Amino acid sequence: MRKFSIIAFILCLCFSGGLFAQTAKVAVEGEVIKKTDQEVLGGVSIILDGPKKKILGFSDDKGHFSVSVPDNSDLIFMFVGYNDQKINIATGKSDLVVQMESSDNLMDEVVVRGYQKRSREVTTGASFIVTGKEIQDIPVSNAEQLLQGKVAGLNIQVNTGAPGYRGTAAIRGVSGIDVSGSGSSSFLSPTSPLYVIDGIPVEADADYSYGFNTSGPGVSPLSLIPPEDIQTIEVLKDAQATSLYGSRGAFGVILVTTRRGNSKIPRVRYTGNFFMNKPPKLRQTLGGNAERSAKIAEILAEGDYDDYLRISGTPILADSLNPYYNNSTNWQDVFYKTTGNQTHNLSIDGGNQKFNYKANFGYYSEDGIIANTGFKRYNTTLNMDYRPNDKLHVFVNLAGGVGKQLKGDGQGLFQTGVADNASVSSLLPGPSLFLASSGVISALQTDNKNLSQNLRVNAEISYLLLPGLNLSSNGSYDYTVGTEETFTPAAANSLVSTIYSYNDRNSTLYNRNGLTYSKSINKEHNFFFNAFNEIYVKKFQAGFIFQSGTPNDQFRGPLGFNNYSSKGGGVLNNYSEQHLSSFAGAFSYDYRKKYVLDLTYRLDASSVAGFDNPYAKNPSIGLRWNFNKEKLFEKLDWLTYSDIRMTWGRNIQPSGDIFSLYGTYTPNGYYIGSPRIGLNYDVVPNSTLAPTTNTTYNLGFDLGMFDSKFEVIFDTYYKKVDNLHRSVNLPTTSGFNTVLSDHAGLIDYGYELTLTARPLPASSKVTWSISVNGAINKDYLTLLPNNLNEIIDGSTVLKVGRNTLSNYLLKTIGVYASNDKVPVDPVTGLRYRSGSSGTAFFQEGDPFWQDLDGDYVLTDNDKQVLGNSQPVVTGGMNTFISYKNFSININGSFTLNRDIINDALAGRLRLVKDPYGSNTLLLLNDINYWKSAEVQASYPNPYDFKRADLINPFRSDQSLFQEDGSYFKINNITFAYSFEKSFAKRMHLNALRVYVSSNNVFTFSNYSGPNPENVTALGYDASGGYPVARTYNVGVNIEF
Amino acid sequence: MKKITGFIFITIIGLLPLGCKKFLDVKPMDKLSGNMFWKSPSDVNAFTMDLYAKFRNKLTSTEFMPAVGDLRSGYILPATINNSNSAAEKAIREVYSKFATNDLRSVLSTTREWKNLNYSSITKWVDFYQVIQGANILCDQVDKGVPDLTDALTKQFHAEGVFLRCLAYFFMVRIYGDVVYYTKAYDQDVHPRENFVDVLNSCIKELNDYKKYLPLAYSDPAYTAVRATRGAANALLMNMNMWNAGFDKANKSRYFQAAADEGKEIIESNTYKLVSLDEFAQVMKGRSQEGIFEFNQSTNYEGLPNFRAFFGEIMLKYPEKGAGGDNNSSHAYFKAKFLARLYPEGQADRRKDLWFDANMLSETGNFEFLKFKGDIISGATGAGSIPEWDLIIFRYAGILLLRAEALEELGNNDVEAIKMLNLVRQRAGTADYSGAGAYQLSDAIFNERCKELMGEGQLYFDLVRTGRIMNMEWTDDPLTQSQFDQGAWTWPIDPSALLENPSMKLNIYWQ
Repeated sequence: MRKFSIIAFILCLCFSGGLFAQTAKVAVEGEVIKKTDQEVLGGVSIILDGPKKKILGFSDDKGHFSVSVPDNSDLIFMFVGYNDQKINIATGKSDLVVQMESSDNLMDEVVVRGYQKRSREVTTGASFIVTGKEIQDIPVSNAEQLLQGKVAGLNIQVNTGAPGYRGTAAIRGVSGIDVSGSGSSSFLSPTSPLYVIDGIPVEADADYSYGFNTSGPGVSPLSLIPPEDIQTIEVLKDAQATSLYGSRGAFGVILVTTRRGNSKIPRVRYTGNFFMNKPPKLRQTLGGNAERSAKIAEILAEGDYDDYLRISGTPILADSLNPYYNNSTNWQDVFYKTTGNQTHNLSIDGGNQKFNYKANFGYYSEDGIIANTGFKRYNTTLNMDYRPNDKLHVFVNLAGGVGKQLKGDGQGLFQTGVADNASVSSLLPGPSLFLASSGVISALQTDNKNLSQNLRVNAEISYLLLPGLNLSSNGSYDYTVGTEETFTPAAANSLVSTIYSYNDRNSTLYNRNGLTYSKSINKEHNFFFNAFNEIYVKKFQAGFIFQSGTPNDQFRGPLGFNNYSSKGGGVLNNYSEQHLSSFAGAFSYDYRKKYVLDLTYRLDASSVAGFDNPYAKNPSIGLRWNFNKEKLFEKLDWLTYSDIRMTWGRNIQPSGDIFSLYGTYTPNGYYIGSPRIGLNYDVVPNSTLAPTTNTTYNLGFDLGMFDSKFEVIFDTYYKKVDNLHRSVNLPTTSGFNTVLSDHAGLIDYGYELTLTARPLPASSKVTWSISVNGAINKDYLTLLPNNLNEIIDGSTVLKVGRNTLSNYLLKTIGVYASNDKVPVDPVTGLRYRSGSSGTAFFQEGDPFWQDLDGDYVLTDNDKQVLGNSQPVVTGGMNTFISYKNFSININGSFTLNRDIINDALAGRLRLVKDPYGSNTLLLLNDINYWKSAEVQASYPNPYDFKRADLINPFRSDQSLFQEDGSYFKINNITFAYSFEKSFAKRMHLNALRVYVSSNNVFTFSNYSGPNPENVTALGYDASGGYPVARTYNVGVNIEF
Repeated sequence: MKKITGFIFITIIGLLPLGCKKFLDVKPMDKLSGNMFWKSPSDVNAFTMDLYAKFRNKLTSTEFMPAVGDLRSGYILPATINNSNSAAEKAIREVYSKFATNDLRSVLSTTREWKNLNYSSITKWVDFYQVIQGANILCDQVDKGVPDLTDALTKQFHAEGVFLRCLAYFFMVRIYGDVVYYTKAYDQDVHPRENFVDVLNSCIKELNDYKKYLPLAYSDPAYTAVRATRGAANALLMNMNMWNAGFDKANKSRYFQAAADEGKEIIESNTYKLVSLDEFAQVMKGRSQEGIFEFNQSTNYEGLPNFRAFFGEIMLKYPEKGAGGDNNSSHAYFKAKFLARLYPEGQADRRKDLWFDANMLSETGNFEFLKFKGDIISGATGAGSIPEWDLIIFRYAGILLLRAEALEELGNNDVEAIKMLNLVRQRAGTADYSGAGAYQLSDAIFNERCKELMGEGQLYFDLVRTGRIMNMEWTDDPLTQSQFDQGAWTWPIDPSALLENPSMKLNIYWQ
């Protein structure tokens, strides 16, 4: 509120400018700079202090100002986002350097609630703001990952290094239980927060979920925003803050605001980054003859006469003189490479409070560390802000982006083909002009292009009808075209080339009309009303063609339809058209900004929810007590601010769609000449399906001490998710395959703490701020369909009363040191055996798996619920130090108490079991596997290849490979130097700043695998995943 | 100016909710949802048609009717002599020798030559339950009310749903024995299997209540015999009663009486007649005056059927079927011993003359069963071209014989029983039954059913329900009493039935 009045005040003064006239004046000249980086600051208001404050002028775009003031008077320098500076002008003092210190007082922040800017001081919900400054200087394809560790309760895991893809993002724990697939390719349906970019809601999962291991380009919409163009990001966490965003805000809301124009004289700024992506440390392999010898040694040690004989029939082992089998190829080198990349961003802005504009042009290019993958982005953003008078305000924004992604022959997230090929024996020859295996050709020469082209336009008009009463209307159109073109050369696909071409169109038309009214009575009772409605029209359609057998690998078209070579295609069945309509209202009251009450209510109706109950209702209530304003605390000078917040809110997601409620009817041709329309028996119509409900209680506490030098934010929450939907299989006698059940629920509760300190005094030459945050989230599954106690989904189990997503594993007790350690069934006198075969009795060197059911046979019944695949504690640490022109910025993040399955290690050990095959052999020096009865071993004997298939000692679903995935990661370090003004001027520049930075710097972890973060959402470390590169970057900011 | 702008704003905001309902009403382009369906009688009709077709599709998913109704009698064997079909086809047809010895495990083996014939679909009952769910939903939806659907039509569609449901249960009981029984729409519950006599009793009770709403005949001739009529309901009731009479011995006279009464109703309705044998091809083609209920396979609307589903496919050859490598010889034949029993030397029978040729007793690939002869589907060529047939479920001749059997079992009206029997014999141009000669009346009726309904999927079920399956005299593959009691006459049930249903048990005999 305060800022509004300041702006209004400035505006008023601005328009009545030039009226002042004074006598006995001194001319004061000087320069306004930012204290942090010594950059000039334009547009700062210069106000003459006194009983009647008077505006004298503004600093120009070079930070320079010149005013004339009465002798010995006080000047106040004011700028939004900075603390006021009051300077006494003594006679003769004319060449001033005013250092503006950015305002770090949390309560001065402007937060956004239901598309309206509010002062944090009078809002009740839990949210956190990250400024654009904090996430720049690091070139990444997706700005989301830079939020990692910055916001307590926002858990971001950069679990793929695939350029252009997203990791996972979740606010406040688990919200869904939809698991598909199993083992290392199991996949948790994402419950990502809703992104609102410049007031326009964008679903981050929309393209992504579709692109996950299915057709489609899979470029995340968030990858299309250049980080350089981001002004602020606000993360809304509790239901009070998100309730005005309705159903779609059930998983939290992240608001992204792009930069606006802010310079009287057009200003051109350039940011360039040149960076190198380096693959992580790869696996150590045996090469050439060492591999052959090791394989033969393995056979001689474990095999019998027939096995020895087989050596001579296996050319890769026997025919060492054959040049085809006499190589030492480093396959990993073929596929994993260090790459050099660059980004360029140019922004032009100008204008004043009345009219300003901004244009941003971005280019980002990253070659993946896996060959034949990469991401390129081209952006243009234009916006314009027009305030001809203090009543009308027009804002127009136009953003276009093209994301171009190369997926190789993989799916982006998974590069299974590459992982397989990198595991080929080093004895085989590397790719050359005349020789390459089909797998290699497939990985390296598959021509895959994915384009995601997005155009987003929006316009907002608001008009102040009466004092306090503001009307606004906002419209936007968001259109995305996604295409994928894949050409697989003949040599990679059994001598038949294939062409796959996919395209989709996704459009959202959006309109919001709102009315706000604010009224203050005696500056004591303040009221604020906000009412708006929203409508969406969303359309999606996708199709593909798939054709095999072009004349050769060069001749790729034109293609026609042909019965033989057309392998399907057409419009996909995921066509959708959806209309949404919502009404929302908010009421806020505060008494002297001391006691605050927030009430909101929103109704969401969707065309897919059916008519019986079209409205999902989202109410919330919030209370706040700024207790530092009480008389009792007024005397405490050190107390800058302090408050307690309490909120309750509910987000309701629509109850499935009309098809799951009422069934799908499809025409099926004719019977006896009459048309047939029949029910689809996949899903039984469930007309009583209840909507999923998220109810959140939040209790928060904020404290600012010693002029905001120390700040504390603490939140605790309890989130209850009821009526979770889950597809349940039905018995065959029902005729239907599945039912969408609503009988599932879970709860999350947790604590979030953010501590910020700026310990050095304002006068210090060194600026130092440090901020630490952490969140503990516990989740429990409370209910499952049919009142089941547990549901097993591959190796994930949902068990009531435990953490929601647990692992379902065999418990490995140890390794049998000798045969007499194997338990013997007292009834039959036989040793404990594996269920896969009647004769697979365990022996020395085998893993000892707990026989849970005590039948001396190992089956799936012996699996048990173990571990938690979701992190319990997440958080981060950020520090910023600047001295003169130097600054250093370090960000770290941590994840604690998470169980991950080290399938990478399991796979590495499994490779040994086939000495006759053409697999590589990895070094196992670091692994304490069973060698003899005398030495205590922690891993079974991998070299017993004859029995490997019988007992499968290195199955991934065992507790042997479940490890603690806690880690502390230094996300990035930036070291920057801003050149002196004078130096920059000599170069005919306004400002010049250079920096070096590194991303994904180092991970501290006890985890024995490569990277505890680079695992699936369900905690599987699959070697087929895309490794996360380390980035070294040199960058420059130039302002002309 | 200010006021006008404000006014416009408020008007726009005010108008939005009014248009909201219409705005939210998006009709999906590519599919219909349930709340858009059930809006007119034609919707109901289309849904009903889909149920018939679904049922039909189940019966044509494999060699269904022959497999369940004829092949297990022990009288049908693969033709190995004088068979000029391809070696592969001959190897496939060895499956009939497995049927003939009730070796269903080999029939269902996934490694044998006939694995592609999809016999395993017989063990999966989910398609029948889809028909049952569909019928339940049909009944539920018409009862809720459909705009423009008259009261009479509402009841008629409901009765049609009941008929289809009962027919599905009747088929399942004869194949699987005990089944899960329910009539609730959208049923998702877990049920145990219920004694099949009780299941049929429930069906009998329900169909009795609803049959009166079914028309005697449809005005549209296209629907003759292919849609549920009162006659079809009577016929189904007769069959269900006769089945239960064979198992629920304590109450058998009640069942026989009910069957005889239902038969009487059919006869007295004067809707059906025995078609002359010269036009018999018309009966097999379907929608004849003799047909009571059958499933239609129209090449005009639906393309070529799965030709392997029809009995005629295995016992006809070129030129009765189209030219093609595997049509040079019949795949199987009826044992000479069986045919000789049915058609004793020296007794005139036009069926023998019309349905068999000189190779009748040859037991070779030259054998042909010409009952299924007909006009080859126009436009079809090659191995798949066969005459157009319906899947005959109930026809008048069968009903007459069934009534004769019921009356004979009741024992108080043999005159009427003989009259029924002779109606069929007269049409066949054979001598009237004139009292016990070689066979007792009941055996004579059974023999007559064998002759008249040969290849129509009735033989094996007649053997089972009359207990003759345990008698060497009537089958070449008899079961022992203990085999019979263990359910050797049923089919195995696919283990997928066990999923999500802890109370489910499979057929013990086949475990």
